[in-house]
Amino acid sequence: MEEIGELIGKGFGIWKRNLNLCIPFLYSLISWILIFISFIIVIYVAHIPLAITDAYKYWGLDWQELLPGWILLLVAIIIIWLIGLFFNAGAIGMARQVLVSSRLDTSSMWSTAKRHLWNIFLLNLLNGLIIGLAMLVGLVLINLLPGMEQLMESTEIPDSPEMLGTLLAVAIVFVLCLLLLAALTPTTYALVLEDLGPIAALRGGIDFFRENKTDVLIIWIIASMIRYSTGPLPL
Amino acid sequence: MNKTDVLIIWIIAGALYWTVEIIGAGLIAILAQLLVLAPLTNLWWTRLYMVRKGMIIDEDAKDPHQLISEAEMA
Repeated sequence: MEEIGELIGKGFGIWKRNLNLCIPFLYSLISWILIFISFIIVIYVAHIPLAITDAYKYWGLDWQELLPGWILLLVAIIIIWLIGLFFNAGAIGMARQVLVSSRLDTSSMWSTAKRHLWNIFLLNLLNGLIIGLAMLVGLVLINLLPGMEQLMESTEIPDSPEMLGTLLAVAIVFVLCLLLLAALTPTTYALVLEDLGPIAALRGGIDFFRENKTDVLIIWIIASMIRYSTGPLPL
Repeated sequence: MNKTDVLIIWIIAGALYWTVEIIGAGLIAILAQLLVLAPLTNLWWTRLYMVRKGMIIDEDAKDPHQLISEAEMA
């Protein structure tokens, strides 16, 4: 069984000899920029008022006049989301190709991306729902704790056992949410690499996490650290 | 003489230098994320999944360069 350090080192070596693994991410960024520019152009040419702040009140517009702008914004966000997922699937396809056959071309990116777009979209929706629901439940539970009110009102360092207990509960909920995020990450890979539907991929990904807890957590922590150290690019 | 040419090149170089200086930090972060970190983490995840699921066996999964250096050592 390959150790995790070995895996990271070999992965780095393979990436170094196959720099075009970045192509899907490059395409993704270029498409986002194009969508953004066309969005701006449409807004400008068609004179659609876009109310992101409440400045529209001063122009005397009501909500019906603002509707087209909101719909357009929503469409742009959904398109950008889908493009991100499309190239995400494509990137996994390319990584699989280079690992299996050690040669690389972009045809594997297009075929994988096209094949899995719909399922990966459903899975992404499902994952989002699960995480959202978990966070909601966590927040409700925390607010039910007796120490919460004290903690919100107090401006001093928490010292009563209720407050400390509540702080601990907040920390536990936070860590559990992070663990859930880590556990859901392999689901996307299960979907593409094992050619599964969204529900089966969800189950397969979580099973994979349960069988390889430490490895998944290590890669997830490294990946998150790398991502947040370089800023908020949503790749 | 070359006064204007030198001046123009100096101005262009200065402008370029400051542009890169100002937007450089953000741009470098985006490029690093895009060209290095995103493909690399994606490759790690894919490899982890495939190795642990037995989709690629260890010999297959070996880095060819490492195979060569191991052969040289033997």
